[in-house]
Amino acid sequence: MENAIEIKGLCKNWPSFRLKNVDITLPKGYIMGFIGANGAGKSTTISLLTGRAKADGGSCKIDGVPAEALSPRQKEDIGLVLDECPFPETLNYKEIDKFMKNIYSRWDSAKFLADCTAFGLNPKQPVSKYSKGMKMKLSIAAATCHGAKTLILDEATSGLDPVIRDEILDMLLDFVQDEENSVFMSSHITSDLEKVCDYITFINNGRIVFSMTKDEVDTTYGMLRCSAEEFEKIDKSRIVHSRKNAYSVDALVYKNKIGPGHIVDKASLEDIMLYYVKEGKH
Amino acid sequence: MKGLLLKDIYTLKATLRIYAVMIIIYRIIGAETGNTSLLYTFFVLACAIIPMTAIAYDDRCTWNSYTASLPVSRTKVALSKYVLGLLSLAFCIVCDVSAFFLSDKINPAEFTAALISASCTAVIYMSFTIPVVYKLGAEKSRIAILVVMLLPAAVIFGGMYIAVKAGWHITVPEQIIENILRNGLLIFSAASILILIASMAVSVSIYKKRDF
Repeated sequence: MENAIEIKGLCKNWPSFRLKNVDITLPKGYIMGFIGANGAGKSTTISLLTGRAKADGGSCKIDGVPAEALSPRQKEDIGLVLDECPFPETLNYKEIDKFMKNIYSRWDSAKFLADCTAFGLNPKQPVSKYSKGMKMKLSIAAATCHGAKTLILDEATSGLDPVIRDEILDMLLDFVQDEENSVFMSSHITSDLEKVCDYITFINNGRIVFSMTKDEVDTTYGMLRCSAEEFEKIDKSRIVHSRKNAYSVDALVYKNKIGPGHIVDKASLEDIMLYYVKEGKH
Repeated sequence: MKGLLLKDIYTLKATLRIYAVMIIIYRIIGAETGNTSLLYTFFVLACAIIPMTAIAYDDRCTWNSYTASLPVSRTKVALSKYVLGLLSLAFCIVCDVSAFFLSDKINPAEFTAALISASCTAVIYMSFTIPVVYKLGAEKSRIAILVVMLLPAAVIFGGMYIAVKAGWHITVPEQIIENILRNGLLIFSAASILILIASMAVSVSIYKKRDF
């Protein structure tokens, strides 16, 4: 199986933050969700992956080519969607089309203009008049109309209402109908990722906690609720983190290690994030 | 490069329209009165302020981060602002030359000297401002640019003041002064081209090292 994205031993040292030995592999044809708290290292990883910053160690490859060695032709295969609209606010989408077709050799003007119209964008309005959702749709239209095979989205759905988020998720699912296409998206909105992602990568404090298929996440982690007495009898190597309430204990556990006799519910990505980030500090 | 320039031109369309109208008005005034000093001030403004404004627009959105994923090199992105400034200057020169042919009140020798001097000043001004803006960003660079532009004058006038106060008598051989006066425009043009090339190299180096 060919990989769309391959990150190995990636390190970056900022004065107040360190990214440590990040390993991520996304096979072609799949969607990977990249989750983590604010400041965990998601945007730094995406910056390094897209060549916006230089790594202090390790490597990032897109479609088998190191990020820093991507030729202009190979960069046409990448679509980047940032959390903010990248286009200056005085432009309207027709002007964006006019200059972008001079940047991308495979820019499909007809598709871009049709997508913008379908998204309800006004061709005469400048970007500054667009709502956040409209700006995001414009960014996605720009990222998908030059024959990109790998879409990289950095917090693209944050701040959007559920209807627009759902439309964007549908677009991503359509995009990966072609088995050569892949999506790597970071988001705080774990419910969105649960809907569309095949793989989940969780980063905390600059380190990868896990990177596995969504099904593996479901079979690895579970939520246990029991009394304090019962909890004391459980081998603590089977517990990820726990939270003590007045009369019970809630715990994120390794589902396949906890053994029979305990009721273990499904752990959502939000549960996993909360227990690792919040309870992990205590 | 063409795409990057088009982006800047569309982004600055309102500003460019105002500059174009002002340049044409000042040129008409200059052609009628024979006084072109206001127009030449606009040469400098057009050449330096337009690229700075374009960089400021880029800084206000995530364009610089986005360009990393575009099929254009960082070198081209950095140099595109110089090309934008030089295109603005070319527009000014075209307006100026066309007005010269339409007016009989302008002395040809003075016109040529003034045009070359203004163009060189504009290029030098642009060459000092763009690297500073790339290094510090559009917001932080304003004071730094003011300091950079005033520094040569401060050094010259400060030096003269100290020399007068101290009673120094610095004499420059007349031959050197004559040479400078005779070849002044040539020296000025060559210096401005060299400064422009050095500035481009510095800007490309700064832009390549930037993390977005």
